[in-house]
Amino acid sequence: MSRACPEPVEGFIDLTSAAAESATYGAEERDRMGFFTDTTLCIGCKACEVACKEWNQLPSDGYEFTGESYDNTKELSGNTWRHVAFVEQMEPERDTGRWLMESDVCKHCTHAGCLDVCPTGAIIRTEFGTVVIQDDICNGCGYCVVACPFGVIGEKQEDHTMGKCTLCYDRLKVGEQPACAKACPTESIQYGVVDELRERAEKRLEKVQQKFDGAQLYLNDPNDGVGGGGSLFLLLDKPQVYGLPPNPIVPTKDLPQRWRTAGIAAAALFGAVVLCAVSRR
Amino acid sequence: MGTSFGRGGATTFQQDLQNSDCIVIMGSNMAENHPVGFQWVMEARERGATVIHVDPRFTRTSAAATKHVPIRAGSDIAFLGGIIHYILKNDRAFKEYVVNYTNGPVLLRDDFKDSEELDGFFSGWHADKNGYTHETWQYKDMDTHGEPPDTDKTLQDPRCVYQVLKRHYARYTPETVARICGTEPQHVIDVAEALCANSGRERTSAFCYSVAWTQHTTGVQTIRGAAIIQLLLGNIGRPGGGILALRGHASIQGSTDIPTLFNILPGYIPMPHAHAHDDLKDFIESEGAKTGSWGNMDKYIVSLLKAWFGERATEQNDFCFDLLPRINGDHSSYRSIMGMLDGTVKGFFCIGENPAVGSANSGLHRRALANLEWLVVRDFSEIESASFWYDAPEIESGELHTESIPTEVFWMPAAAHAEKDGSFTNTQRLLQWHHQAVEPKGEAHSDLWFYYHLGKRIKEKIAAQEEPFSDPIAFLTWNYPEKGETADPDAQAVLREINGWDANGRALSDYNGLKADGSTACGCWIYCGCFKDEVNQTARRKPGSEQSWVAPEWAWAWPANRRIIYNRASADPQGKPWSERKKYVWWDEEKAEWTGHDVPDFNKTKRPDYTPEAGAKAEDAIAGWQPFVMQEDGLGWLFVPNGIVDGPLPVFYEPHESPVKNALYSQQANPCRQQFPRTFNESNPSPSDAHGDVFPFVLHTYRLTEHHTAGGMSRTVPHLSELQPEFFCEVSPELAQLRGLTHGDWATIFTSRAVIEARVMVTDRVKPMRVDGKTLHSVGLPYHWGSRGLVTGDSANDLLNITLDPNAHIQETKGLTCDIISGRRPRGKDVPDFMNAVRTRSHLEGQE
Amino acid sequence: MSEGYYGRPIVKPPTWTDLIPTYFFAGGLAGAAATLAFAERTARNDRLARAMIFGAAAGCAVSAFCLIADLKKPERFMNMLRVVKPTSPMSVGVYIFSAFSGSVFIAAGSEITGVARSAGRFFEAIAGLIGPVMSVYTAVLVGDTVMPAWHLPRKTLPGLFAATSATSAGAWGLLFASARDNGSARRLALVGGTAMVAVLQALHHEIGPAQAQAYSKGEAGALARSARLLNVSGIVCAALGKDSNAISRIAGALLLAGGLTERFAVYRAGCASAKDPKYVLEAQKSN
Ligand SMILES: Nc1nc2c(c(=O)[nH]1)N[C@H]1C(S)=C(S)[C@@H](COP(=O)(O)OP(=O)(O)OC[C@H]3O[C@@H](n4cnc5c(=O)[nH]c(N)nc54)[C@H](O)[C@@H]3O)O[C@H]1N2
Ligand SMILES: Nc1nc2c(c(=O)[nH]1)N[C@H]1C(S)=C(S)[C@@H](COP(=O)(O)OP(=O)(O)OC[C@H]3O[C@@H](n4cnc5c(=O)[nH]c(N)nc54)[C@H](O)[C@@H]3O)O[C@H]1N2
Ligand code: SF4
Ligand code: SF4
Ligand code: SF4
Ligand code: SF4
Ligand code: SF4
Ligand SMILES: [Mo]
Repeated sequence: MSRACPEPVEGFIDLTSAAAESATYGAEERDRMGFFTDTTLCIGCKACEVACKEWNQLPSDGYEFTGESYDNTKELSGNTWRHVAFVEQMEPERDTGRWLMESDVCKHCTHAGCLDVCPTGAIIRTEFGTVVIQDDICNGCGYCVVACPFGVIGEKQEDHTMGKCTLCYDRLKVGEQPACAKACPTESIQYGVVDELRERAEKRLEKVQQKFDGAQLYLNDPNDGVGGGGSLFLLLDKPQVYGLPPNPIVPTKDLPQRWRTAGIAAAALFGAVVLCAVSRR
Repeated sequence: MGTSFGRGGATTFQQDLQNSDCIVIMGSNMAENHPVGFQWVMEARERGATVIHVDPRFTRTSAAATKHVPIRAGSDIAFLGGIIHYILKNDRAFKEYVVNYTNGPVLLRDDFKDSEELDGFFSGWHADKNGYTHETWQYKDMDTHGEPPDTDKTLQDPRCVYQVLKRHYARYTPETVARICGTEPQHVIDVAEALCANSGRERTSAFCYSVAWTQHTTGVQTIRGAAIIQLLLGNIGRPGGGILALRGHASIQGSTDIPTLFNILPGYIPMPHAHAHDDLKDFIESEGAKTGSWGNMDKYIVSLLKAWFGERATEQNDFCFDLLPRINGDHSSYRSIMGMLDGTVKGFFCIGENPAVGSANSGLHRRALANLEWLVVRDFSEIESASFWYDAPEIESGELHTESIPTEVFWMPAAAHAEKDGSFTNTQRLLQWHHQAVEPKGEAHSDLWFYYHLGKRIKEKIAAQEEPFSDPIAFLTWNYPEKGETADPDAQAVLREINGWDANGRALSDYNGLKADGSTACGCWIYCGCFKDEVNQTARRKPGSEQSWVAPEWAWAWPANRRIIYNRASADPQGKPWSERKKYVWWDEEKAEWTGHDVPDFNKTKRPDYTPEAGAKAEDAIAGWQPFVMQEDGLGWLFVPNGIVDGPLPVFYEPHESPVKNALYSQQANPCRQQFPRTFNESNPSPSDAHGDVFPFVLHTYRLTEHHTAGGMSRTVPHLSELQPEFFCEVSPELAQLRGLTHGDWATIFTSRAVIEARVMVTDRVKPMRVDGKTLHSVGLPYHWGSRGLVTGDSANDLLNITLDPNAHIQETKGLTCDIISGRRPRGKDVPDFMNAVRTRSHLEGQE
Repeated sequence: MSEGYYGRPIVKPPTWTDLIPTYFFAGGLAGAAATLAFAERTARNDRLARAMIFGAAAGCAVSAFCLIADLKKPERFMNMLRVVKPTSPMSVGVYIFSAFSGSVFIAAGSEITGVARSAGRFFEAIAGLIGPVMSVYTAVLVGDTVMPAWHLPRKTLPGLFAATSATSAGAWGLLFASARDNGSARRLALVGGTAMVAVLQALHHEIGPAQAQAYSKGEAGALARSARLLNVSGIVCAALGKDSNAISRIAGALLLAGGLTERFAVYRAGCASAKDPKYVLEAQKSN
């Protein structure tokens, strides 16, 4: 069984609240749940986007025509927790080509920058190993926004708190699957136990690789910079083509060193002040 | 489909697509418009099927397909002809199927002349009447003796349908077809080869189409093209095969089964014609068939009359046949619009549609609405068809004035499907019940409530009059149980009446139980069985995981809960499955009955070797090896001798408006097409006309996943509106360069009807075509926008012209001509000035 | 086409307002000022100590305002105090700031009123000791984000923050103490100012030329150039104006402005490095 609490990985600070908080679930801890988004099956219908907004009662983000293929959603934001990216790649003679579509979402990172830095404890790791913002505790400090390597979190203008995918915590609680996965007609979004999804993803990659050179799994590796994702992706091109960071690293990874350097700088500052004060003529 | 196979519905169901080895999606953008059904295409693809999308644009369907073939809008018949040519030339037809199950071996009359001989016309053309008479299209010697027609099972006789077909398609070579369609010959060959390689005993291929086939002046003939391919390759009635007509609105199939059409009664019984049908006997004789299922017309119509007129309908009074309305010509939707303009149609119920945005030439529609005495609009919001009198573009441009519009508009809020009980009949003839989830808000009521109480009130008024003319309404049974405060009629009671009951008042279990003696009542014979055993079969929801893949216990499909129709054809003439892999329905010799995964579409106990006696009637006249039980001869019709007005075989004609000349015949467009030349419905000149070059680009229209049709249900919803907030046009980089269009900026698009503007979407997904050596550009427009809602924009339909397919009276929305320039359109009074200049340039001032 | 996905940011720039760089400035100044106050008190230069503890108090007041105002709903500040989270420099920072500003306010209050003098002195000492941490922790705070311009200068950013704080505190002394008393402040301003220029150089070097563009181009670059101009002129004035109150004040004003501008330059650099995906892509290529 895959425990919801991610194992600490060497090189990461051990104080992660991920480990600390999740461990408190005790007997209530569940299998770690997540997504495998198989972009080879996505038809860009955006049912996931709409289902998410409907279920979570999120307002629209405004009506702006971007001209960026069929994507007028633009990005994940405080009120948009699923975003389908559209990338047109036509061959030169244009009879054939690819139109890549990818439904993006919070990665529910094993080492989640957002969760690590949240100063209020508003962001928690649930018993399902997912990362959730409790909006009644969030104070809108915005730190999580800049600590997410994927640019997932955004501000909800209405009340100046932050919003992102909850992996439908309320639905999971009652044994339902997330709204987006339920709405997806082609099983591009597959919801399940993360370990099982990983296996499935690897098998799927083997198959897809025979046809597509650039096919790759994203966030499938527990040794990557965020300890792997709770949502993983099968991509047909480089991550950056879809607007994803190629090599994401949780910012807290080298936090102890940062404190150490800062300590030195503070000491130097102290020393400098003292020196200035004593070296009077 | 009706003429080729016998029933006007999809031959298969969407789940069955998973069994296909090759799926050709053409004339449909299935992934975008039928995303939920498309999962089965994806499933087939994952199982290794070839998925081909033939479409002018590279769409989300193309992206998911294994192959995309770009063709010019309106050239589908040529492309399909190319496939037929390939099959016949290379002898790739499924011979055993063709010989036994189709009319391929049947000999035609000697005086039949093909369009190849008469330069685009068949024998029987009457230029003065702009139409055909059909006698030369008949089978040889049919009218002399009422026996099975002469056939040549070797398919060698030059008069046999197979050979006629061969000659008809001889010129549709890959090269010629590619030149017409603006594509590569290799594409034609590839698609044809994929179909051939994936047909036969072991394999099956399917076609999916939707309105990019039907919305042409040659719509029905395009579908005929696919029917011919599928019959030649033996793909009808078999798992993974068939032709899937993808329907539109939630219950559009239902609205033809229990029609909102003027020319049919429920269950495709023709509407009686004034003069032609004096009494019931006349009607049954001329409209029923002697053989095949239509041989039971008497049972269907009498049961229908009993359902409608109840006790009042007796054998003595012809079961009130007299009281049915009569038609005396074309009373279709567009004809009625012309009537409104002419002042002959004075009132209009506009329910569940938004013609001021959604109908071709919406500007003309708005002018028509503005000429009514009264208009009733029932909708969720005040749609453009209800608000035109103060906010139509014609008001802004000063062409119409609110003060001088006489129309009294009654706008009434309607309850949505979640606010009422009822059923949908979806694309695959599946009736699915929906239960009311919430009470309608405010003043909103269900449509059933509206019609029922309107009827009640009219009946009350009429009862007072006691005039004979009031009988049709006074005699109607009109008493459903009423529920709740609002006295909503019980929708299940209506469904039960549609299902029908026997002499004892018990619900019938299938249409074989119908009688012609007035002892049974049935509101729609093809729906008979949907309330079998007094259970609402359409409300069944057994999960797919708890039953076979056919899922017969999920809801209920007509006819008789069959999911694949004509499924007798899934077995060979002896009744054995063609192959283990494609097993579906077969003859069980031990039990002496047909059995299998689905309800057999055949008399359950009719042996495969059953041979009808001479003079046998109705279904008894169908032999044990003839799967198309609705047809008089039990065969699939490669060649259609009757039931179709514009020719027994599909012929390639250019669209009504086209920037190129017909490369095959000197007849440019379908000679039978229905036209309405008048001011504001001018036609753009085509090349053979003078000034045929004024509108140099192909214009076609379509949908986006993010919106629904005329937008009343999506432009009002924030979560959909934000996904596609603005009206745009899709153009190739080449056209953008030619006309100086800037991506993201504005373009002005115009035809001889209107001028509109849209944001520019320059995309590689649109490719210019090489048609007959000329580069041809196209402008693609989604048609969802109008003047109201959260997101607004011009309506693509303002640009269109009303010209119709002569069979189905469907307008041509895919494949017209237009011009496009950079920048925003004129406003206010400049609009008529601009349009006058356009009309002058194309020399259309005098066109009437 | 532009890099990445239609040139859209891969990571999100801060949702913060300009109150946040202002906070960095004010908090940094307060920290170093408190330390100088403490040192001067110990060296019995009460006049400078007095000016400096007021400087620290002013810095704390501005800081508190900025922090709370940026949250839009002041009561939400309290949410920060419901947990202690070592992984969050902001959480750690809130406690540093609370302890520090609390001490400063007590010390300054006592300084003004003359009440509870010994407690005042005690807290002044505490503030003096926490001061440098107060000045520098914000470098950890911004470093612990995914803005490449903040995240990448692991070694130099705290130094830059320390130097800027020193300069600002020194400048405060130049501005608000008389030339007679402000020797230490002047030296601090000179040392800090010079260090700032040097550390910035090192920072550019640490992150390499591609990433350094975030600092040298656009609004951040313009701010950085103004800051350098202000700082260099400030240093010159500070060095020359040893005996002139007027020139000292000018030096103080120039350096204060320079420090503030430098804070904004760093802040804008961080935002710029988020808005253009090339920085993230470049950073992750080399990783
Ligand atoms: N999301 C969504 N789904 C819908 C609807 C909706 O509005 N929105 N509407 C519903 C309704 S009412 C209907 S009828 C169906 C319609 O479903 P579709 O028929 O799939 O609808 P369209 O988008 O109108 O046309 C399909 C495609 O035809 C292409 N096309 C245009 N002209 C030609 C041509 O001459 N030949 C060929 N081969 N292709 C051509 C267009 O590029 C377009 O991609 O969809 C239903 N489903
Ligand atoms: N250019 C161009 N034009 C086209 C097409 C095209 O491809 N190109 N396609 C054509 C096709 S296939 C279609 S189907 C038409 C669609 O065109 P319309 O039918 O005119 O357009 P809709 O927006 O679907 O209108 C349906 C209305 O019914 C309302 N409605 C929904 N449910 C109910 C209900 O239960 N009761 C009542 N009273 N109202 C209800 C909705 O709010 C909506 O306003 O457009 C046609 N026009
Ligand atoms: S993707 Fe971003 S928001 Fe989601 S868990 Fe990871 S760090 Fe947090
Ligand atoms: S904005 Fe809210 S969720 Fe994000 S870090 Fe601050 S308190 Fe936590
Ligand atoms: S899991 Fe729930 S919250 Fe997350 S994207 Fe899907 S629907 Fe939205
Ligand atoms: S619902 Fe599924 S298929 Fe549709 S856009 Fe989302 S992920 Fe893609
Ligand atoms: S809108 Fe309804 S009918 Fe259309 S695809 Fe979605 S679920 Fe099916
Ligand atoms: Mo439709």
